[in-house]
Amino acid sequence: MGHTEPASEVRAAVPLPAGKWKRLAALLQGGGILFLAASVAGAWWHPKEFFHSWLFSFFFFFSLCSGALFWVLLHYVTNAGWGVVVRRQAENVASLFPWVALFFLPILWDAYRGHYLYEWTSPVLAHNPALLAKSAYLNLPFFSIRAIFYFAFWIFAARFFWNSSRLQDSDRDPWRTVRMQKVSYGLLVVYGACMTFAAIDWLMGLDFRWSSTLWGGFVLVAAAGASLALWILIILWLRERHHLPQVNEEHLHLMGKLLFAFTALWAYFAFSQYMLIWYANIPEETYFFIRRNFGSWNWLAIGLVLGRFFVPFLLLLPQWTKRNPRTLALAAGWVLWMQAVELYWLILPGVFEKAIAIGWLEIAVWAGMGCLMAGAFLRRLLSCELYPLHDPRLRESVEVIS
Amino acid sequence: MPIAEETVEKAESGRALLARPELVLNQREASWVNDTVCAVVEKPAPLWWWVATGAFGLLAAAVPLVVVYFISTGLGVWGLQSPVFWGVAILNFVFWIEIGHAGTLISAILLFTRQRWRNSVNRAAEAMTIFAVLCAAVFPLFHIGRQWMFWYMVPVPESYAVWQNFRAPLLWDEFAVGTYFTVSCLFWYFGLLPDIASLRDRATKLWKKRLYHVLCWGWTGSLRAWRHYEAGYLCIAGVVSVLVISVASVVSTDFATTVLPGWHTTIFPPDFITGAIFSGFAMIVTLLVPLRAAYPSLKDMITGKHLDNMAKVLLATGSLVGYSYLIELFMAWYGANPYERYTFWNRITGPDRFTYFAMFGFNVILPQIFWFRSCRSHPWILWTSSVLINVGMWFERYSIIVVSLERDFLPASWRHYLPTWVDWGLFFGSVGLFFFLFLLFLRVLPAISIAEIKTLLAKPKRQRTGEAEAEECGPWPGKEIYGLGAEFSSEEELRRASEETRKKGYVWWDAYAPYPIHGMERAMRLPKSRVSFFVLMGGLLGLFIGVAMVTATSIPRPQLLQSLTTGQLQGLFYATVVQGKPYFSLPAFVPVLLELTILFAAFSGFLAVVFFARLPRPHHPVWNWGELSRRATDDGLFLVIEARDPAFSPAESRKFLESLGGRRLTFIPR
Repeated sequence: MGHTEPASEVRAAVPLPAGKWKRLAALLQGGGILFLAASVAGAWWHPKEFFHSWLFSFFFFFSLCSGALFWVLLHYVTNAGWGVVVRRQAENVASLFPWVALFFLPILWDAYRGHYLYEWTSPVLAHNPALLAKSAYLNLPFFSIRAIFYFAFWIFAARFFWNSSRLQDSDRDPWRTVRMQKVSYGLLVVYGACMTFAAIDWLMGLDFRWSSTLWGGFVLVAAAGASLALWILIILWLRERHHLPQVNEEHLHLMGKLLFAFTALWAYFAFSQYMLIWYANIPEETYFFIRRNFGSWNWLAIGLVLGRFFVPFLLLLPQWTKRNPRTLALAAGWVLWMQAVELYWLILPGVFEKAIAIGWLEIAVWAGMGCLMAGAFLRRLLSCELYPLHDPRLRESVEVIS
Repeated sequence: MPIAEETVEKAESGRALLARPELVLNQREASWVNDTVCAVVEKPAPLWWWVATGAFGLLAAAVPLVVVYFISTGLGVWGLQSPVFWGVAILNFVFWIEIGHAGTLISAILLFTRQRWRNSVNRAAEAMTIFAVLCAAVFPLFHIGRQWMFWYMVPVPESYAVWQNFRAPLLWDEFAVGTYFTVSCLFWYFGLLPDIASLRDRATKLWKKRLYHVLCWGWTGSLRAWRHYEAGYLCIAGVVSVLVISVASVVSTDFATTVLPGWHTTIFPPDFITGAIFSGFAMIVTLLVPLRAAYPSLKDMITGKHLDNMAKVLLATGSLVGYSYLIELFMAWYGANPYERYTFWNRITGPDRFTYFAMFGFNVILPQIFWFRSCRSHPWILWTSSVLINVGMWFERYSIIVVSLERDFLPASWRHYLPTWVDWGLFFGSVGLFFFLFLLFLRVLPAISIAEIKTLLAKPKRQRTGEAEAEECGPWPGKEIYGLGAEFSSEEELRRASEETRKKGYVWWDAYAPYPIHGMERAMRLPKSRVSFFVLMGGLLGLFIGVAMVTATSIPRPQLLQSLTTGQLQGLFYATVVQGKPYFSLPAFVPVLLELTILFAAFSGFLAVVFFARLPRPHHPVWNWGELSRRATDDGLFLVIEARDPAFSPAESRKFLESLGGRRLTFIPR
């Protein structure tokens, strides 16, 4: 174990097929627009389902981007060295935040006009005492201001890290790293606040009567785990095609360990929240779970316990599965898939109250956003180097021993 | 070209800022580490030690005195009255148990996150953990009122045929704290093995040598043993890090599973963990800053960088604790439950509001000074803050426990709670006990992990120069020899020599070093240690036992046992409905199952290491070589080829080892 090749012995990287990928990106984005257009047509017949599936897809891609930003911030806050060679891909994913902001617009429209998602936005409830008690927070202007602030912050922060790191490739200035590190501490604090309240606004707010103090942390941990899984998949894909030969088994092992840790951490947060509410059994909060442990939704709940925790946990428990690209890819892909399942379980009971259902709307919206994001990601990939060429910690990262 | 020069200079200064600092200062050598750390134990105790130990010992004496008083009088002498039935005693339990978390956390979680600076603080922190848990255990033990019936909480078959309610958070507590104490002791002791061997090899008195020899199970420093040791240490650290998280969470469920406003909140488990890390780190700083001042030579190992890192951890965890306070406030308002809202309003404006402000000020606002490097690098600012932080954490528990209970749902029963002198006596007694035990520990065992520090030393190292070569001992004609030993002067040489020895076809040989050397398993071509398999098996066994236990004590009697009487079944399968929960309440059983899994996994890991490393070893022939027996746990790197090896021949093997750069070649008598 632990045989690292010196930097000089690493095989030369295969350059990215730029022309091919540009065409692919255009194709993907065109397809994405088609999908979304088709789904908007579906909104005429099933507006409630449409907006719920839109929120589901939006939150899925939002969690990937925000999770990527979390990893970039964490890299600087912890003064880490190991991840330099893989960090650029997290920066790339985080820098797609403007797209996520774009996807938020229909949700904002619904808050003002449609009222299909957030019950509290409906004028019918304007004089409801339960809502009035919290209307200082739950009101449309404040809701919009918060959303604008979150997105402004995330777009700015992601752009700042992506750009500084990219500029360092050409000017080789180590002070950029110092500066990013200095800024990251404060940004992480703001990031935490934004994530917490975004989770409260967009997911917990689906039911304004219900609340849980752990909610922000729970959503953040799930997002970070899912985004890590995507990050691993991107790295494995680039490595498989020999574009990124600097990444060796040690990096895979480290990322596998992190995925393992975040699988356990998700289970811990999810269990803490579930067990305390189940145990106290207070009607005003326990109905959240009763609703989701009802009929066929209950099978999904049990499936989540097994699939979001036990499967990746057992899969990543031995050492070799974290070092083997195939098993690691399997685990990462599975976690990503489970993030979608979990969000489905959280959001869709709002429209499919009796039993699970998956309509073509859900698939079309998800595929549309996915294609748009994938195309945007490919363009990002081509617009900069695959890893920070002149990061002062690059050598430490390439020679890291797990 | 002044501009170019300036850029180069700027780049250099940036690089210098980002350089990794040395974790052991002044280019210290391995033998210096041994001398310095062991000197604390071996040299006669300084005057301050006697004074401090005497003072804290006197304070600790309050514990037995107060205990005898209130057991003989009755618990009425405590300040407990309706509605505050959980007062300062439970508060102190939470206070101490949370302090006890940082030790294991530093050892285990910082090990996984590759924070190598932990190596110089983990030992003291682990010791602190054990003493803090001991102090914590005092309170529930006496709070139960009928202390002589303590064993009712232990699941043993007994004549009353009454079994425990495994759905109850207080029982989870017992399992969690019990497991935590046992496994922390095990982990601490496991980490101590090589260091006790160091003490043994330095001891001058025969009885001490023998005592240490027994305590370290006859540790040789063989690299074949080191491999299993490292694997075992990692595995136990793994289960311990789950344990540390589960214990703080279980303690939080004592409150969070209730339906009381201010107690029932889902963020409590992670909040208690961050609180535990926070208060534990504060306590480590409280202990280490004076320790550094008392033994200035330790400053090369517990450097300014260490204090800086710990201050950063305090800042991070303090801010996270602040996050919990604020989100609790927000959700209390957002939840719009009038009782919940009132509880928090009462904390802030009620008669005990100063506890809330002390909590917020000391735990959230005070650590914000650590944004500034000058505050982080000044030991006494750091020390003062760390003491105040623990005061703040004490008030946090006061605010949660007492202030929530003082004003319950029924205003007619509201009453102000005041702890009596008995409460205070027990608390200050426990403070005395804690510091008293820590001071004793300083004089008995190495307060810094010697073997782990050595892995941090600057390399290349230890070119011993100007030293007379010891006379070489030829094979004695009349004596049977065990093997041929050689010393090597650097890790690299030893690694290369091992590789050559293996390639030459030797089978019966071993290398000895005072610390695990990276890459040796490849040089010696050792297979992967199988310790982890036994850890997994042990864990599964614990889980299985746990499932059997909670099932048999909770579900109704199955059909095939219908013919037996309750007495014959020892009261098993005698189902009772608790809180309307199902007989088999899986979510409520998880804490107990988890603790048992961890308990068994940790102990089987320890036993597997003992087995694979061929411990205990009363005697080993290599110790007949004086040089090795003195320095294999100090700074010597040795390679020994045994005479029973088929390829062994005194002349050729000797030439072979000489050609590899071995020195002090010696034939070791059997």
